[in-house]
Amino acid sequence: MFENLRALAEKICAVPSVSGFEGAFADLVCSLLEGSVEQARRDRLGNVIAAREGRGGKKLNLLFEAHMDQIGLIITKIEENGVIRFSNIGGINPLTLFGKRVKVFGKETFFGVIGMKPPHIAAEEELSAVETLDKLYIDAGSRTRMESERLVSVGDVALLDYHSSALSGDHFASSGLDDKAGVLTLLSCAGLLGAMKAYHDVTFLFSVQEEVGLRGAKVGGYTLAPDAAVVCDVTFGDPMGDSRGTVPEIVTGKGPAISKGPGYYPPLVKRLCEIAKREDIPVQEEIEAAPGGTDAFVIQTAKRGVYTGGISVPLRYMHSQTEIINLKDVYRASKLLALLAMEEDPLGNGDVKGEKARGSG
Amino acid sequence: MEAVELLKRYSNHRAAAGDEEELRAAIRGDVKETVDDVSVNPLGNLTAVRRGKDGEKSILVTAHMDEVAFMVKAVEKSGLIRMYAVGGISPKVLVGNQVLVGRDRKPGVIAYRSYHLMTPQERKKIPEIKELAIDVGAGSSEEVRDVGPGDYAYFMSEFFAQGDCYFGKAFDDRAGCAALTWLLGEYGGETRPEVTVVATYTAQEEVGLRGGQTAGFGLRNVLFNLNLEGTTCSDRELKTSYTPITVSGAGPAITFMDRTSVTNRKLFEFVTGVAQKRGIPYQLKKGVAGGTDAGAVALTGEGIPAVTISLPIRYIHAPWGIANRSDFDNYLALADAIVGESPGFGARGAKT
Amino acid sequence: MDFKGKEFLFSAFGVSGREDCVRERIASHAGRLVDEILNDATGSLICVKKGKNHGRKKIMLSAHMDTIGFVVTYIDERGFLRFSEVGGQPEAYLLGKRVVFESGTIGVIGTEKAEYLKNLKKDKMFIDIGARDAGEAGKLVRIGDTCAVHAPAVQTGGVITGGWIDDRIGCFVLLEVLERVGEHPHDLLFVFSSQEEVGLRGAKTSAYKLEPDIGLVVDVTDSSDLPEGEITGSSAMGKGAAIKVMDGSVIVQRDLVDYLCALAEKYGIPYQRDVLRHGGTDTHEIQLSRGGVIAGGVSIPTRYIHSAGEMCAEADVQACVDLTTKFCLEENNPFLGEFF
Repeated sequence: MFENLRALAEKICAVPSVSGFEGAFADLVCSLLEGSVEQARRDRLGNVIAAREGRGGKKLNLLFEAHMDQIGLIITKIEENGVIRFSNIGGINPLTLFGKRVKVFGKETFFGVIGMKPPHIAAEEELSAVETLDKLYIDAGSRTRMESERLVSVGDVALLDYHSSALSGDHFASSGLDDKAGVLTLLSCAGLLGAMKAYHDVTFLFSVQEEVGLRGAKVGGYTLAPDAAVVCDVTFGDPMGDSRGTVPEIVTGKGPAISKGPGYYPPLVKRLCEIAKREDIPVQEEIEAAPGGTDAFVIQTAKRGVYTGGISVPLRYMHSQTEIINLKDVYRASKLLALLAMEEDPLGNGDVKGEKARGSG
Repeated sequence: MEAVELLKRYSNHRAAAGDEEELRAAIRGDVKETVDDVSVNPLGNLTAVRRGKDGEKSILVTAHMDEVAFMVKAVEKSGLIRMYAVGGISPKVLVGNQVLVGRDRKPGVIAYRSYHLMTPQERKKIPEIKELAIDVGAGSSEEVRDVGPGDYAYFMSEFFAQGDCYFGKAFDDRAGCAALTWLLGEYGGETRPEVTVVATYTAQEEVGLRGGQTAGFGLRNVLFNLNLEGTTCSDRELKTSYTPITVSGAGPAITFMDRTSVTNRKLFEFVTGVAQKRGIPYQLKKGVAGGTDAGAVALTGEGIPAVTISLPIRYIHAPWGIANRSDFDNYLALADAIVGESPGFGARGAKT
Repeated sequence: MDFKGKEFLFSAFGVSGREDCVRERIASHAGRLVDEILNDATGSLICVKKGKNHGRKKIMLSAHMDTIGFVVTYIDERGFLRFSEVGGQPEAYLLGKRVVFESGTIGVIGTEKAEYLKNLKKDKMFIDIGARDAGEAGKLVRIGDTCAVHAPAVQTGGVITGGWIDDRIGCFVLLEVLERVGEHPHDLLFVFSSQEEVGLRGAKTSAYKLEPDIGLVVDVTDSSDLPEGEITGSSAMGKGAAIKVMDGSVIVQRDLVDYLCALAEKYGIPYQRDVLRHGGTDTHEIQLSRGGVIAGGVSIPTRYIHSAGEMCAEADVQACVDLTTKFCLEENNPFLGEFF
C-alpha cells in the first residue's frame, strides 16, 4: 500500500547528510520538490526553503519544518601506523561503533572498520568497557600514515555503513531516519497539497545542523518568522522504553505523536487533535514538561515568538545505524499537516488574519 | 491598589510554564484601565505599555508569571497520578505535600509509602519524582477521567501574613508581578512616567527564560531593562556554604553577575546610586548562581543593558516561602525610584 | 616576534563583563589607524576601517578581549574573600595562584584545609589579600569586584607563555593585521568582543548590530600534542595557523575552509586543519546571527588553555597574521561576490 512512500524513503536514505555536510542531500530534496512548490532556495547555512502559495482569501503563513542532517563521524588524526582517529558529529552512541564498517568520504569514498579486539584474546574488562571515541580508530587497511593520507584528510566525514530494508507491517529500517522520516513527511505533504490545494501559504523548511545544536532552524526561524509553525521530528517508539506498565507508551504504527507542553501553543495542539479525530487519523500524545530536544525549541522563540506545534514520527533505536519507523505513521503525519493547511482557522484561536501572530492585533 | 493585596492575590493564583492564563487574565484586569496598550505574544508574555512624557525613550520592566509546578505524566489504572516537574523543584520538598490537580483544582497529596513500611535504607534516601505519585482519593482511573496527561498540578499553599513576614507560595516571581502592577498603578490617570514604561510579564521563565528571549524584540530606544525577581535567602540554613546569597531584612538585592549576565557596569552603578540617593536600604546578591530573564533580554538584538533587583525569599522553589515585610516595601520603593530616575541613565548613555 | 607597543595586551585588566581597561587601551592604540570606533551594548569594541571598492562588503574580524577570572561574592570577618569563577577553570589550575584586581591589588588563592589538596573544591577556596579584617579588606576590594590570575606572558625560545594568551594573542593578531593591511577592497570591522568566556555574548550583539557579510574569528584552539595525552583535537603547536573545520559550537562551511587552505597554500603559509572535539567560540554567534552568516576561524594552537601557563608558538601566531592579512587583501573573495 505504501509502495511509493517506501521507494521515496529508500531514495532519500541512500544519500548521506551528516550535519554540516548536507549539500548533496539538499540537492536531492530540491529536485524532489519540483512541481510541488513555486520555488525552492538555499540560505547561507544550507537550509532548503520552499514556498507554496495558498488559494485562500485571508491567508496565514504556515511553516512546516524537518531537519535534513544526521549524526556522523569526523576525522581528527592519522597515526603513524595508518590508523585513522575520529570524533563525533552529533550524539553518537559509542555502543553502536565497536567492530562496525564505516564509509569514509575522503579524497574518494572508501570503507574502513572500527577496530575491536576479538573475544578470544580480549581481557574481561576490555570486553565490557565502553571506550571514549578518542580511543577508537578506523582501519582502512593502510599500513603507514602516507598510505592513509592518500585516502583521507583531517576534517573529512564518515558514516556507519548501513542498508535500507522494508520490514513487516509497513516498517522501514535505515540510517538517519532521525529526521529523514520528517523530511519524508514534508515531501509527502507537498505532494498532497499539490492535489488538495491549501488555503494558507505554506513554507517548507528543511533545516541543517539540528543534531549539533538546532542551528539551521535558528536562522531559518529568524528569516521566515511565520504566523505558525509545525515541526516534524521523530520521537522514541521503542518497545522496551520507559515503561512500567503504567505510562502510556508511544509505539510505531499507532500514528504520529502530537507534542503537548510549554513548548507548544495549546490552541494549535488542540486543533491538530481535532483534525485527527474528525478525519479518523490515529494519533498518539507526547507530553514534554520541559521545552527542548527539537527544532521547535528555537523556532518558538524566533523574533517576537512563533505559535508552534510538533508532530513526531515514532522511531525505534534512535541514533543507532538501524533506526526503524512505520511508513503508515509518516503518511498520517503528512496528511495531518496538509489538512491543517486547509483549515480556515488552523491556529484554533480565531486569529484568521494572523494579527495576533504578527503583533498587530 | 495595595501592593501586599496584589502579592496575596497573585501568589494564590496558579500559573506555570505554558499554563499562565489564570494569572495573565487577572493581571490584565488589573492594568487595563491604567495603561495605553495591552498585548499578548506567542510565548504568552503579557505586555502593558504606559507612554511617557518623552515619546522617544522607553524602559523595559519585566517580571515572570510562572511558578514551579507539576505536569501530569499519566493516570495509572489504580487512580494514582504520575507527574513531571515543570521548572526546578528539589525532590527533597515533595513528599507529603498537598496539591491541586487539573482544571478543576482537584485536591490531592504527593504520596509515598508510609514511614513504618520503609526499610532502614529507604528512610535515608530522598525519592525521585518518578517514584512518587499524586493521590486524589480515587479508587481507579475511571474516577479521574477528567484529569489527563499534560494537565498541571500546583502546591496548595495560601498566602498569610504573620509578624513582620509574609508566607506563601510562588513569591518567585509573584513579588515581581505585584511590584510591576503596583508601579503601573502609580502612573495611572493623570500621571505619566518621564519615559515610556513597557511592562512585560513574561511566560515560561522557569523552563529556560523562554518568554524573556522574546521580551526585548522589536523595541526601539530602550534605555535599559529592569527585571523584578525573587531570589534565594539562605540566612537561616545550616551553614554549608559561606554565603547566604541574601539576608532577610537587609533590603532588596541587586545582582552584579549571574550565570546568564554580567550587569552593565554603568547600569549597576546607576541603580546602586539611586538607592543611596533616595536612602533605600539594599544589599548585593552575594552569589552568581542561577539565571534570569535579564540575561535573555541583555542579548536581544543589538543588546539592552539589563539589571535584576530581587526580593529575598527564604525556601524558594518550595511550597512555602517567607519574605520580610520591610524588604518588600523597600523592593517597591527601589523599583519606583529606578523608574523615576531613569531619564538620568539615558542622559549619560547606555554605551559602556 | 615583536610585541613592541602592544605589550599592554598582556597586562591590561579585562575580565568578562569588566573589560574597561583593555578596551580603552585597544581603542587608543587602534584609533589612529581606523575610520570609526563604535561600542556595543555588551561592551565589545568595534573598529571600522573602510575599504576602497565600490560596492564593498563587510568583513567582521573578531577576537575576544575578555579573560577568565574570578568574582568576589563574600568578604568574611577576617578579610578573606570568597569567590566564584568567571569562565570555566579546573580546580587544579587555581590553588596557590597570584591574582590581580583591576585596581592593582594583589591576592593569593588558598584552601581551607590541607586535606582538601587531594580533593580540591572551589567553594573550599578563598582569596587572601593579606588584610587583617573585613574593614581593611573593604578598603581595597568590594563584593562584585573581579580579578584574574596574574602571570604576565613572556617570550622564550620561540614560544609565548603565560596567562591571558586566550585570547589576547588573538587581539594581537588583529592589531598586527590592522597595521599591515594598507588599502583593501572591503570594509574591515575589527571587533574586540566582550564576555566571550561567559557565553559568547559580545559577539552575539555585535554581529547582530554590524550585519557582516562574512566573519573570521581569531582565537586559541587546543594543541593536542601532550605526552600520553588524549586526542582533544587535530591541531598541534608549531604546525601552523589552525584553520577551523569544526569545534563544539560550529561547523564551518566547507567551502570557506577549503578557500582558506588554498589561500595558505598559495602564499606558502604553514597551516593545519583544526577539528576540535569540544569548546565554543565566537564563530558560533556570527554564523547564527539573524538569517545566517558565512563564518570561519583562524586559530593559534595553544597548550594548557585556561591555566597560568598557556603556551603557543610565535611561528603559528605569525602564520595567523599572514593568513588573515591575505584574506583581507584578496580582491576576488568568492564569498563576497554579488550572488551571495
